[in-house]
Amino acid sequence: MTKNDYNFKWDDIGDITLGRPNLGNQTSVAIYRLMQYTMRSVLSHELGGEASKKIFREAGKLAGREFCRNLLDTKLDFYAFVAQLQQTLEKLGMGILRVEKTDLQKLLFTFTVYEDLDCSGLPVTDETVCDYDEGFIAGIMSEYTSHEFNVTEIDCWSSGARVCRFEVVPAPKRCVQTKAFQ
Amino acid sequence: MTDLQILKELTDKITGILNGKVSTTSIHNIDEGEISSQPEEIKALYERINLLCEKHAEASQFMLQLSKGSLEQDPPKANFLISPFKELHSSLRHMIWQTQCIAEGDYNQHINFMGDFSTSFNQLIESLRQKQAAELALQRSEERARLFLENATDVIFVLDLNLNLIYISPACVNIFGYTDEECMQMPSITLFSESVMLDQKNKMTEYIGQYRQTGVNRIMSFEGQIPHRAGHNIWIETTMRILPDKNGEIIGIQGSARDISQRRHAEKALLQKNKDLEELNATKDKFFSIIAHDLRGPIGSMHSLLELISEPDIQTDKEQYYELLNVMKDVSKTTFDLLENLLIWANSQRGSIEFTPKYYNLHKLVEQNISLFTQAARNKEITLVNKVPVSCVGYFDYNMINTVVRNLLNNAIKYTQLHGNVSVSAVVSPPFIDVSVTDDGVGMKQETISNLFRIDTISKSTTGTAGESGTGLGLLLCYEFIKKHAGNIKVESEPGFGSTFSFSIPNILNA
Repeated sequence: MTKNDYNFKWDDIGDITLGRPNLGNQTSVAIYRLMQYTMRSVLSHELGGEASKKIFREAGKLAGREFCRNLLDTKLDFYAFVAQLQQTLEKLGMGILRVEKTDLQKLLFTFTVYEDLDCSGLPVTDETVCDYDEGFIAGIMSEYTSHEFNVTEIDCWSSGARVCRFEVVPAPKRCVQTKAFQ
Repeated sequence: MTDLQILKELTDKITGILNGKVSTTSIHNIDEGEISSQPEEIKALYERINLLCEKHAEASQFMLQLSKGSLEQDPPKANFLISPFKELHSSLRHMIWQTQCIAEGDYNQHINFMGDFSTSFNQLIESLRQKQAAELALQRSEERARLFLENATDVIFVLDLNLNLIYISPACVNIFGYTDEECMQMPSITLFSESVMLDQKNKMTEYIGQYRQTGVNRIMSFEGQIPHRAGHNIWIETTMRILPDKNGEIIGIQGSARDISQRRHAEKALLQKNKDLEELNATKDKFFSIIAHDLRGPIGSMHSLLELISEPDIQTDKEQYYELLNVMKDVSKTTFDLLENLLIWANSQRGSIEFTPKYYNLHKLVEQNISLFTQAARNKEITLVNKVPVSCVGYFDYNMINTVVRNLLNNAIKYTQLHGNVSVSAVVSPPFIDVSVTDDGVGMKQETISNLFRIDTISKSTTGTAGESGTGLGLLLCYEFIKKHAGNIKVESEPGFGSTFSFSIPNILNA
């Protein structure tokens, strides 16, 4: 994992049952946040605030894709898929997902997450902090629909709301320029 | 502004908020006018009071819409005054989305909001899910039944006790040619044919009586022909039995019918095949019978006669010697005729005789045959007359009709006594010529007539009036050859009054 071209694989998570026969699969939310916010601190100092937010967003997107690919059934119809996602997120203690709006024609969605693993209970700082969640939701939706998405957190515990609200919109299609050479 | 004025202005603003007054305008622009020259602490206080007014106005607007049940408006961002209500707003929006999903048939939603309401709502969803599952099971069951009925080769039907159709499965179109809707418009007596239905009605009445008395529900099966929509008749096999409800009360008659035309045709073909095989077997038996008996007899006689002629005593007795030679000549003639017929018949059975009809003069053909039998007729002093008109022309196969006339003349002379008469006549009745060979000989009994022309019944024929023998093979040949000409052959006879054999042959092409 020290190579410059390391690419994440699901197997890299390892065999937790084998490796933690006594402590098991659970840990505390505080320890998870300790890791995330210390890392955010270092990245912010090393690369700047916006760069660190981008890194968290991209990491979240990769995690969302892998999460969807390995733990969810993408053959289900949308409503069944959402139900399955809700159950899985709740079961893993990641948050309570709710859907406010869906427009399947335009691929527009508004999701809310209660008791969010990343931010619920954080001190209010007047800014949204769930960059990782933004990427995570975008990764799941991209893997399920085969479309790219942009996800923006418009309300966050940190910004004074008691719930995290995310707007999911299709990403603008990349315009590939081609030029013919004779 | 004095400090007192500033304090009064800010106190009035806060009092307005506490009294529910919504103000979206700032008290002062802190960067302009009198406030801009105030100390930073005073300017900061104005700024926060202005922000409080703004957030209060946002909150008031949001709360007002929420109180009206309108959730369309997005909640204002970064407004701590309404944080719990934003959570409520989000939960209500999610519940609406879930309700929409349920309305679209997604019963996997589970509400965990608003306590007892969510419990009742989730029970409602569970009831809907169970109803949906039951409907789905029913739908699948109906679909299976529909597929079974549509794809079954047999047609299923239900009749009332007056034999009117109550139901008929779509497979009816394959059997009757009518769709189920068309069948339901028709009286069952028309659909199943009047004769079939009337035949079965009495039987069904009897079965219904038995069922009511004993409870025994007997199955009634029958086969019959019914008209198909296309105009032809088809054979169906039908099975019917009483249809009782769960209390045993008769609600109708259920039945099924299948097209058995193919089976019927196969059975008919099989019967014909059996008949052909029987004839073939009889032909074989007859062939061996002739070889074994009819041919062996005369050849044996000739052998004995030759041995007798070789005796020295006979050779010195000229009169007896020539008498024996005449007998041998008759026997060899009979044997030759038999062999000739046998050969022709064998070729006929093998299908190796070509049928090549052309126009021929019938008078000439008869004349040539009469000349062949002149001596035989003279021996019995029989008068042979050709009454066929000189110009009579027919369209026939010469060899075949020649064989027919020769055999019929031979028979006529054989069964006619001394001084008798034999004649051949012909009457043209287009497109056929009716030819008759008439004698005034011994005639035949009805029993003998009915066995003529049949391979399975012919036996050694009656001996002629001068002891001539025969096999009946000649008449069989006549029958075969006339059949080839699409004609008829018949006989009229009475014991002691002679016989007339008549046959018809075409007088023109394509008769």
